[in-house]
Amino acid sequence: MRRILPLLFLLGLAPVAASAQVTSQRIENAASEPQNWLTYSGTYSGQRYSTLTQIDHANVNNLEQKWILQDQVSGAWESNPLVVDGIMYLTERPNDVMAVDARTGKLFWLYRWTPDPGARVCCGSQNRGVAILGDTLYMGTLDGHLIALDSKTGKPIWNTIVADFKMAYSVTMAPLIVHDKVLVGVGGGEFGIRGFVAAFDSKTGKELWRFYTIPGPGEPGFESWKGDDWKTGGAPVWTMGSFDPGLNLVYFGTGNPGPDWNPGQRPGDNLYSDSVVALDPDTGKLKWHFQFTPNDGYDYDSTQVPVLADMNWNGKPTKVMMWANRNGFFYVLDRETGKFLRGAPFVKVNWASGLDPNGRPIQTPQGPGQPTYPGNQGGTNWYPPAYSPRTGLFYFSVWENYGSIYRREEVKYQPGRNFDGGGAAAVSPVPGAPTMAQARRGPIDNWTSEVGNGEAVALDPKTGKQVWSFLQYDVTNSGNLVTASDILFVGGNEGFFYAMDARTGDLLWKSYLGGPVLNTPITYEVDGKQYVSVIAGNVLATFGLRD
Amino acid sequence: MRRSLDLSGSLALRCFSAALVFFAITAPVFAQEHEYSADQIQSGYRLYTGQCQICHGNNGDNIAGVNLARQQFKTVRSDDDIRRMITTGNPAGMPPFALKPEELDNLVAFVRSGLDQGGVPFQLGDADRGKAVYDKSGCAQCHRIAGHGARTAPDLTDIGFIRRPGQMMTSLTKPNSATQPINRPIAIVTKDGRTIKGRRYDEDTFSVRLIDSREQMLSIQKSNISRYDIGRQSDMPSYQGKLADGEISDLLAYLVSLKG
Repeated sequence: MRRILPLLFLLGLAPVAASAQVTSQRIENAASEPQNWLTYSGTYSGQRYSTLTQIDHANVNNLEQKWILQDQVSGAWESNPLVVDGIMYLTERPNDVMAVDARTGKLFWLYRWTPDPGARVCCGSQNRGVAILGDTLYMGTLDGHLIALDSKTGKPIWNTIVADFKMAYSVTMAPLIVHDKVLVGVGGGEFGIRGFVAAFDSKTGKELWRFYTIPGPGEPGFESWKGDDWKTGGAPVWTMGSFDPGLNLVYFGTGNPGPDWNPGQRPGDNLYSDSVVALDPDTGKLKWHFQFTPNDGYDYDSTQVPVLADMNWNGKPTKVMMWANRNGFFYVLDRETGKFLRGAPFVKVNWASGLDPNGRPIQTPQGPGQPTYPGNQGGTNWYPPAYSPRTGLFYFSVWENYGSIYRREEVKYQPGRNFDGGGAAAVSPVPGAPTMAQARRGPIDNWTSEVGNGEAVALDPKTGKQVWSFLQYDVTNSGNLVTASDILFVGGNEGFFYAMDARTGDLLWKSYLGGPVLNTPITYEVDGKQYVSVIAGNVLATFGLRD
Repeated sequence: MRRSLDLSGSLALRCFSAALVFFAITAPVFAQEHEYSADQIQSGYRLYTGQCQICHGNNGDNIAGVNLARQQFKTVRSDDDIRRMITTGNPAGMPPFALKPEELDNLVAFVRSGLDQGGVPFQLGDADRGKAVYDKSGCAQCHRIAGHGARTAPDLTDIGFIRRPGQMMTSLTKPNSATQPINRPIAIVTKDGRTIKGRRYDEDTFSVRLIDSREQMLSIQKSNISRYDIGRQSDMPSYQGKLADGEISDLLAYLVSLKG
């Protein structure tokens, strides 16, 4: 059953700026209109860097809450809002889309897609947001659809099937617009899918190309699988990619191979799982790949947002890609060629003793029952990092001192069912202590730092060295936002939302929001006022300077 | 139309939606005395992951109204009921499983252990006798049940719901190995010279909440703390050797029966 809820026309008094068409040129030049947040990462570069400077070190203490939007459903809220000319577009689980007045939080409309109850996702009914092109919004659904909506009415324009939910394919990521195409990947890495990214015609929903993240017979990389393992090998694509218009390359991180925990059951490197793939967005052809974790047995999805920047590297202007990986290593790659430039651990790592000159890990598997660091949730994960060209620093959220004990089992593939091959339990000081592996945390946060803790970290990509860190008692699944006034906005699982000095890590301001900050703050400007919005728990809170 | 759903259990929810007419049973379920070995629990764990997990989930809580880890069932009470349910299935959608008697025993042990993957062995005696052991052993000098007893140590009113039997068994015999990190004894010296001892409720980057030795609830900013010690030695004595084995089994059965 699919229908629009009649939440329209709340007051109809406040006129909103007429929305011009969001062309692909506008998205390419998004940095030149910082009042808007036109694509998932703010710009195609994945930097989450805003040139807005109204909120600065001198006045950040005057931030106050301007409005909140309460989630209409329950459960973790991982959506990333867009803001276009005063209107915010965001999703809530499982597949609602809302258009909101970005000054007041009042709704224009709400579109609700109810996914088929047979849809299967590993980790909750997440949706991470919409994309916009022209005056059309695009959303992937848990049951594998891609839906185009009229941005002014919330009514569907077209609806196409990306993949079969009965085989446990799903779409949780926000789509990526490139030129006139809508790019989207699929989840299902815990269910024996064969991952892919596909491009759809933005006008009609017709599929234009599909790149399988696991090569088929006769394709390069196929030799990295044995027998029929490639058919159920996972490598999902469930977080946002980045795009370099100059090189005309789009970059996506890929997830774990399947079965997750039993690498012995799928010998070989298992390309292109746990990799970054560089694709021609016009054809879907692979230009290069770099694999972070060959034959992964730890669920080290490389589903982080690729961060693109141009910098001097050993005295030469270089187009680089920065990547803090779930596997605990921070990488710098040449994004024209995929060449490995630098890599080093940013947390305690014992699954590998280091990286060889090509960036390939020297794997050191731990014995049965022995802890592996970082643990199952990684040294970092899908929540986006940020990069400031002003400070030259890379900002990301880290889990320290967190390990898992892995259990490996043979598992038989059954279509649409779990295909994980064992399990992982967090290292804990006593049996039964609350850990991430238990996933559900009650209203009282009885986690203690004895099972790990979180950090907001600033790292210099040129040296690989940590410049500062802000230690948190609990772990953090917060994304990062940095502005040209050198303020880093970031949160954590404890429910605090912080403004920090991006150069020193000094805490400038904080607000307690009562629920974990997931995904990432964004910033925008309406009527000359800068706002910062962040989702924490079941609330989207928007802050601005005191009037 | 469902307003919200957690699809992680959707397959199971769909299979079993007809079973919602039953009520969860939270009353004590241990009428009989039982012993569950580590081998049984661990063998049951392997069976569970292969046969049961697809519907019941990793934590045993994927079926509405059933939480295997917390001994919440719709109709089941005794161990024999569990065996019967597995063998015959039910009309609500649970299929029958043809298992050997030994396999059934192992699954029962794993369920009764609270899905304890570590497989800590335990023996359950008689809960009524266990209450008498609780009363005579001075437990209420620190613990509290249903409004009676001290608050120095954790309130046990729902301990059978929130802890596995194996964890409680270890708490009784080797308390230092079982104290939950949040419950470690803490000692704080504030910048204005006060010394506060107590038990933590909650801690974050900036503050700690606790109940002190005078049973006052306090929230202290870390910026006001000059010294903060977290004790590794539990204040709880070991009852190994102090109580007879049968008394420990009885006491454990009593604690397991406390569902809040």
